[in-house]
Amino acid sequence: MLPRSRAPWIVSILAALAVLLLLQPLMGQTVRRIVPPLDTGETQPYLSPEECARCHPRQFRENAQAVHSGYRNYSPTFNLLEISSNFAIQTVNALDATTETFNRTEESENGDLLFQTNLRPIYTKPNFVTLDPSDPSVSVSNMRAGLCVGCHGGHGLGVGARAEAGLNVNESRVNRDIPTWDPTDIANQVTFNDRGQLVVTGANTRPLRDFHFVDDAGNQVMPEEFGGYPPAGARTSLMGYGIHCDYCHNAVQPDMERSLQEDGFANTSLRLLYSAFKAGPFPNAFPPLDDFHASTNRRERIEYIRSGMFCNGCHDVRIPTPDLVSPDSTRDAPNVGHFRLENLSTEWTIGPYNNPSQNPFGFAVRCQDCHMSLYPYAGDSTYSVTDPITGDQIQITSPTPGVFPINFAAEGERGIAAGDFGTRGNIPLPRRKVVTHYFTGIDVPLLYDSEMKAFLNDAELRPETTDYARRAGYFEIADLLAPPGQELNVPMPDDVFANFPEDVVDEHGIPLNLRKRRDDLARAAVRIDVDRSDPEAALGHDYTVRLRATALTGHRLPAGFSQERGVWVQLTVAADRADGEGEVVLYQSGYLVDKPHPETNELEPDGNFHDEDQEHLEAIVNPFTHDNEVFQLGPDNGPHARIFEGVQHGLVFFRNELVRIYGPRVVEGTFHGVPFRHESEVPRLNRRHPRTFEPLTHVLEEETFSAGLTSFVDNWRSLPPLVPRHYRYEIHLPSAEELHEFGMEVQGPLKIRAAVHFQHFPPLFLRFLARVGGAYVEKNLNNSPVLALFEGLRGPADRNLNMWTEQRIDDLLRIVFDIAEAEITVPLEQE
Amino acid sequence: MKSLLWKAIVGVLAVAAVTVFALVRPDESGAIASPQSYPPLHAGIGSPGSVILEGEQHENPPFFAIVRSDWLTLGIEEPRTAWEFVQRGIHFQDDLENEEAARLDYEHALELLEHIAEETGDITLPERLLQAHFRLGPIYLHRHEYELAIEHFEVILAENPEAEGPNLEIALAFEGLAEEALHEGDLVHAQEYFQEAWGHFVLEENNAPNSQLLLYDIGEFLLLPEVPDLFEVVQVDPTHVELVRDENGDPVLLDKEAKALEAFQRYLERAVEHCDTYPIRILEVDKKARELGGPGNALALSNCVTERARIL
Repeated sequence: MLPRSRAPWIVSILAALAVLLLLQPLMGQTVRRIVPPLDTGETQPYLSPEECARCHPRQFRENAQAVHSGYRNYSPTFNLLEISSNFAIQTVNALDATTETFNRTEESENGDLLFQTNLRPIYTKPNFVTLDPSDPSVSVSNMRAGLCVGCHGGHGLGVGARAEAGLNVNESRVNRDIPTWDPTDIANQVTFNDRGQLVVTGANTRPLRDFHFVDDAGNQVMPEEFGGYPPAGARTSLMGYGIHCDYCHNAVQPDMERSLQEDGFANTSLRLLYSAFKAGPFPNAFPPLDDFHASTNRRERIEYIRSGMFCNGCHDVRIPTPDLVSPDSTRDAPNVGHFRLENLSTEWTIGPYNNPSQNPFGFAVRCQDCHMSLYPYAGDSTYSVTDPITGDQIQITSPTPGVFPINFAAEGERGIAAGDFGTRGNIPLPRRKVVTHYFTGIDVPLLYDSEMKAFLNDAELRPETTDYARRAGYFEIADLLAPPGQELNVPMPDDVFANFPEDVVDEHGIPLNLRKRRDDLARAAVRIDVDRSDPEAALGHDYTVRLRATALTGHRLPAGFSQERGVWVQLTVAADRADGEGEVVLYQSGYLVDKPHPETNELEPDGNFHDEDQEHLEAIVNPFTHDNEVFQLGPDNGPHARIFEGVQHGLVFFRNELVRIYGPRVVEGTFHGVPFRHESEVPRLNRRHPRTFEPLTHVLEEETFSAGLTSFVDNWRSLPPLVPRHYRYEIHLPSAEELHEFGMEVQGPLKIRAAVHFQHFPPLFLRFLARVGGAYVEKNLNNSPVLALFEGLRGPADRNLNMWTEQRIDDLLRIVFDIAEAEITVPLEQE
Repeated sequence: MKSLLWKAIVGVLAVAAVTVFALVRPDESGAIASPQSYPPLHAGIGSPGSVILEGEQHENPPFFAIVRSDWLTLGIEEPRTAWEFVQRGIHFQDDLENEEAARLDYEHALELLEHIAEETGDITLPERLLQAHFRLGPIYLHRHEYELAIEHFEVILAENPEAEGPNLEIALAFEGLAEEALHEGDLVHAQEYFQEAWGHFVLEENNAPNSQLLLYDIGEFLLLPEVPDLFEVVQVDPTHVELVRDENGDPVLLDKEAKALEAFQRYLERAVEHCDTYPIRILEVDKKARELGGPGNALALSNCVTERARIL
């Protein structure tokens, strides 16, 4: 006989089993649209975001604004970056292939043809791509028009691979391929025209975005003009959507094999499982109405997508070519040398925000806590940061990370407001902590709205929703905000990203205007003070401004493409004129000057400061060789002088630097100081002086603005988080006599003002891209012997690729001014 | 009995809940690694410090990057390598304003490399640590130890004769030596040093013809009352100049005022589009250019000083 105390439990369990038996037929344990698992584990086609939008409209709307979703694929910056590197590498290889001493196309030990490049899709290790067509990973990912496509759309190529394997996918490489290069014919693709000019010919000159369109049948269609608008009726392909729902929610785990250091970092080192089991941020999600998919309960998979490790899979970019200066230790980087083009994930991983004991919030602040939360709209926190140099406790107030909205994770097609929860039996879903999907970062689209509409329109949504604004959900949100039965009187602007009213917010209080969100994020990123400057000043004497800058970003500032993003300090030291007519600027740094840019047909100053570079350096980049055809230090030379010579004045610039090393150095016939064993190893283009084109006999190290031919990346120039950095401006104030000589007298205190500004891209870099894209006929304004070869061409393809122009720079490039400010006054003695 | 009923209900609900989720969610296929099975994170930062192998100084680093690391975030208690000594020196110099401690670290870094160079027979190794030389030169210049300063700048020029800056610094060092010689009444050496200084101004001008700082310094140098007559020089290779001679083989005297005016006018031409960190300098140069008979540059003044319409 059972003990009396256990009897009720036995009865309970038996009763439960009985109930289960009764309920079993109602449970519908088969998930109808899930086909039986295949050997590959793939059970569901790769989905378009519209399919997910049926039950996750909020997430769809939010993600449609994320730059990684759609925009990135059509971005003129990305497309020209990709194609410029492609051109450069083709040229390098063609030139080298024509020499006896250096040929980068060679055979491996087993007879495979090997092809080594600087940038390429990363699918195999070590840093060679075998061209064995029997290797399926090779057949879809090898050298092609899109060098970068292995990562920027690699999931689409993966879809193609499964199509070839006869699996059930809805996009096929067969239907929509990107031409594969024939490495044996590379020299032929780089030709000399009848004037002896070097031209890259053939279909490979099409920008990557041209390959992203399909017709209603799923067949690839091309824009009539290279880089132009898609033909009528074209639809965005799955790859064209970029990173959207089914990419992230198919993630399973880091892909160690795909990462160069076998650490799951960088270059899309994550494993995707195209199945109906989606990874979400919580277990036990209720099944949707039609069993469209299920959500995983696997703890590891859920933890992965909730972690920074998931983001790390893409947000380091490690280029598999030996870093000439600072290779990662071979202990830590088995087999594959590389340099770090994007180092964001590493910065976060080893930084204080990932360590609860090193940040003021007491928990590991993940990527999601700032980029998928209510941040920076969830209130502020005040805390102190220790200055390791002075020991000061700096009081800082900044937005609080890790605060998430409460909402429904899903809803039915008619919406929660209509009582449709989209669940089986319409069982009400609970409100819970949810994440936002805006992924607001430092980027905003640099496309006209008309382009966004053309590139991202979807035939399925026409004609009811005829523009991107509607697709992105703006109209619907506006409708939701309106009183029932009435339309909200919100003007719908032409440029939904730039001009959408800043005070219109979503249901969580987050502004719909992407630029507003970006600007607010930037303003949360850094704090400065000049409090330690000399407490008093005297005309005719030296004066030292001491600037202290503290980044509050989870990574360094700037991050991502940190060699092109610019964050800098504008410092003004001034005093009031005694005659009351304003003030006299006694010293300035970080200023901008409006000037002409004849290389892109801006022949007169246009009154716009947003298209100007800082005055520490004047550089013009050659679109053919990627050399600087003009490179000279300017009057505000800070970045170079401060680091090289220890000079304590000039521009404070938090932009990392791409460095190109030209060589070799020869001492009595022996090579020294360069990582090449003999001359034949120095790429031919690196053996000549970038401006004179004369053969070099010494090492020349120079900043470059082309990632394609970079030798080394200095990622130390950005500002580290939560560790205040110090900069001095040791200046000399003019004497009263000198001022009097120019009819000026000053009075009152010395005024020191510092402001931090953010610049999306250096205008000189965009002008380089404009020339790569053939927007202008080359005129050789600087009489460069190198450019003489290309005079009269429209870029390396001798074709207008319809991307960056001076006009686009003027229209779309905007500096975010004053993301941090500081100001003091000190007594000024007249002598 | 009431209690038994409640326990039965709770039990039924619990088991049902667990079972429902077990039944409606067949397992996904594909092995899933637990986080614990990931290999250790090797979060190298691509820093030049990573050339260290097994804690040893790399015997032949391919190239020393010129960078400023965040010394305190490296977590290195005591420097081990030449690169690390340089980085700590930078920390002393830039962050702690301790120039002497910095100088000692830079010098120690070079000693370390000299030791390795002797062992390996790689004579150029210490010279490759350009940043130490870049940093030491201005320190010695600032201390009026001009010969030492010139030594370090010449190392840089030996590596890269086109480097922008070192020739200007050497010119200033020779100017300092000349001033010292004048102070001691040694007019012969003063003349030689001033002439040497002029030679390096010319070399710098060849490397950086549009440097506003250089053009300003050239003008100022040539108008100094203590600068004697100088001979014209012409560059013969990236590191050398020679005297310009007339048809009789005599050296040609430099027209200092004409050359100063030319430098000032070129400065102003550059300033039109680049202004200056010291706006008053533009006024000064414009005034001096006009005093020397030049046109000055009204546009430079209006762009950068008076109207300020084209400067942010």
